[in-house]
Amino acid sequence: MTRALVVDDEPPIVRVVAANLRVRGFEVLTASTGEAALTAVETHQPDCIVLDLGLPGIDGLEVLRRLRTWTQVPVVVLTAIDNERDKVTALDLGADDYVTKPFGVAELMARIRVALRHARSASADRPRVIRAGEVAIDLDAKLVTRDGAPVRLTPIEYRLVETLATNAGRLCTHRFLLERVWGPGYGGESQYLRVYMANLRKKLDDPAAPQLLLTEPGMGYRFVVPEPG
Amino acid sequence: MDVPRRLAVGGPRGALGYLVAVAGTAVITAPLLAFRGDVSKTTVVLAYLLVVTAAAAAGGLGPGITAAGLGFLAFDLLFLQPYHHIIVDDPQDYLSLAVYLLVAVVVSLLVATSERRRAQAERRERETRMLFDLSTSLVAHGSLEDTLQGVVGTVRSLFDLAGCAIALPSEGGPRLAAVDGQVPDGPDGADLEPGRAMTFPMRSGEHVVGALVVVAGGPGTSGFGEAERRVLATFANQAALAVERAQQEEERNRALALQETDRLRTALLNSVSHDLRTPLASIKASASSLLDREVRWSDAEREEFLTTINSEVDRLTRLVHNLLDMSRIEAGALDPRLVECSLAEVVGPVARRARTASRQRIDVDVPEELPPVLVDPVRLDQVLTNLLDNARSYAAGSPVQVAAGQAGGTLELRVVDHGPGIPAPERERVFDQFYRLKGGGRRPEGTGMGLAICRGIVQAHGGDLRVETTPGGGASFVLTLPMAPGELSSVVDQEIARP
Repeated sequence: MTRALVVDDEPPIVRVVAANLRVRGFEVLTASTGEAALTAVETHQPDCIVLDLGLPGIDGLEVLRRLRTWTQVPVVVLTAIDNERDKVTALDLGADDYVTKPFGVAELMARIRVALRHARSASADRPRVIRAGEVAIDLDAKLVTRDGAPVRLTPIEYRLVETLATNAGRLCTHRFLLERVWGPGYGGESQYLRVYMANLRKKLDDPAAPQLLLTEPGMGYRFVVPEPG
Repeated sequence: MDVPRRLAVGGPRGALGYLVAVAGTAVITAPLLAFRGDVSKTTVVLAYLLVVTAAAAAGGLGPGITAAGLGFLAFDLLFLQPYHHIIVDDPQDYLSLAVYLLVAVVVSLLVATSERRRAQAERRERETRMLFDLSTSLVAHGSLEDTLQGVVGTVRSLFDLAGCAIALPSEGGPRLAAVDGQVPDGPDGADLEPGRAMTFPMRSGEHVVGALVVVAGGPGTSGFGEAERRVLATFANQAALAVERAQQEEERNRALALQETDRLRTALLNSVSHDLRTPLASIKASASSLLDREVRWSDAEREEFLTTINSEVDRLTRLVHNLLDMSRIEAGALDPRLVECSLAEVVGPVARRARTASRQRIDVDVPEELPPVLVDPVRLDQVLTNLLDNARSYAAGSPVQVAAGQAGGTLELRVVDHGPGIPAPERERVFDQFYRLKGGGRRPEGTGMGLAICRGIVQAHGGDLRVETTPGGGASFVLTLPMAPGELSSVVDQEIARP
């Protein structure tokens, strides 16, 4: 059974999220402070964490920072609508995704699913070919095709789409992409990204109405694999 | 300038010299005259030279020369043959007279010069000491107000002035920023003799910061001498630097205060947005769970979601009500509907409601005989409900007391608990908006507006709300309300009628 830890200082939120996870077959642990959350992670080793950033005492960001020193357990953070900076910080610290309060439960559940799937695929053998609609990315051959026809990509464009696709469904922050593709020290140059993403969209997606490469304004980009069926 | 100066050798010293010259000559002449036959001319001459030296030392050159002349006449007329005539018999006496006169004049000159130098040195020293005292007064003070007041006070006492003021430029022309003693509104008041009031510019670098206005003492005293003007002018410039420094300090403090206001406003906004968002998040999560078609909820789960939605909507409603009340209070638009009623009428139902809601023991001691108050019963009910709620949640199960009494022209209502109490430094802050007591590890439930609203309401009634320590531990909220006006006048009448 998948074990989830829900951390929030608002009992009603904890109750609702826990009920939704239980009904979907999760075993649920709860914590209302950062300290309790850290202890719970150590003693119960959950498979995923829903973490509110606005906790009394040790706040969510600090909890995340401490967790990431020893575990890669998937974390979906809950943030306030007006706290853009914390969101980015959380993602840069290694959160897998975020949901803004007030949130619909379906959205939160979907984010948790993606985070879990990514964590599993990272530990298991990764598929060597990623398919998203009409686009296929062969990671061994470093070949991208659209409708079966090869697409010519520059090395940087390829590394960018590879990074996004191997993190499919997750939000990749500007900093994350820049450091993966261009290397450390490029963390602040998000205008590079805009240019390359525009080119990638022209080659792989519909620039007017992107389906594959979504922009999260001010945060980063998300490679979306359409649900089959 | 023949005006005597406080800093120079003054008028009284000159007069003293002449007095010494005249009286000295007379005093010396009397005994000499009595033994005219036995004293030698040398003794007489030396005696008169003594008078000359004393007069010159006391009053300077004028009195010295006067003493010399008087001595000359007395010596010639009274001690040289023939007596009572200018002419003398012995030609050698002419020589004696001439030598006496010469020596007397030289002695006068020397003594007067050294005396003047000494006076000058003394004056310089006094000037320096004065400037030093004045400068010290500039260093000691903090705010602009204090600095200015310190300056005018020191100047006035050091120069023994009728008044001293500092004028600073402001939007509507110069304004007297600090005044000590009597200074006419216009710096050059028409009712003053010319020279009695003076204005010195206060220069700092290139620009003039303000002006130092001084008014000399009463009509009997003099105006300002050159030395005094020099000191005042120097000091005005020194004061200018201090004023500028204090002005900059004030500017900085104002900026800091603005920053603090800004910080508070942000904290307030954060608090409100957090308080609004949290119930919304619970409601949204619960409602979206219920609407989720993928999941089949049990009756118990559905019930729980609905309960959450219901109570969170109540919480949101309370918050919105509080915000509305708060903004009404801040806008001064609370507009209580005042009715004359007795405290017992209002307290009774509130206490009953609180007892049934929480099974809390509440002891009420509000005598029916207390004079009525002029209040909005609905608002007073709101205040008491809030105070009782508070007392209950902090009382930790111990009984809560509500007691009322009369104190002069006001009625006092106390809501007393025996909980942990409120530490002294927080006792005023609990009335601030969005302030919540920390500690206990317990999450504060309220909106952080309750007490701010209570105080606002009570103040709109012309009363006040404060918190004290309950003897033996706990918090006592003390609500004072003015008595209904009719009652108040009868109390006053009674007090007047009492012998």
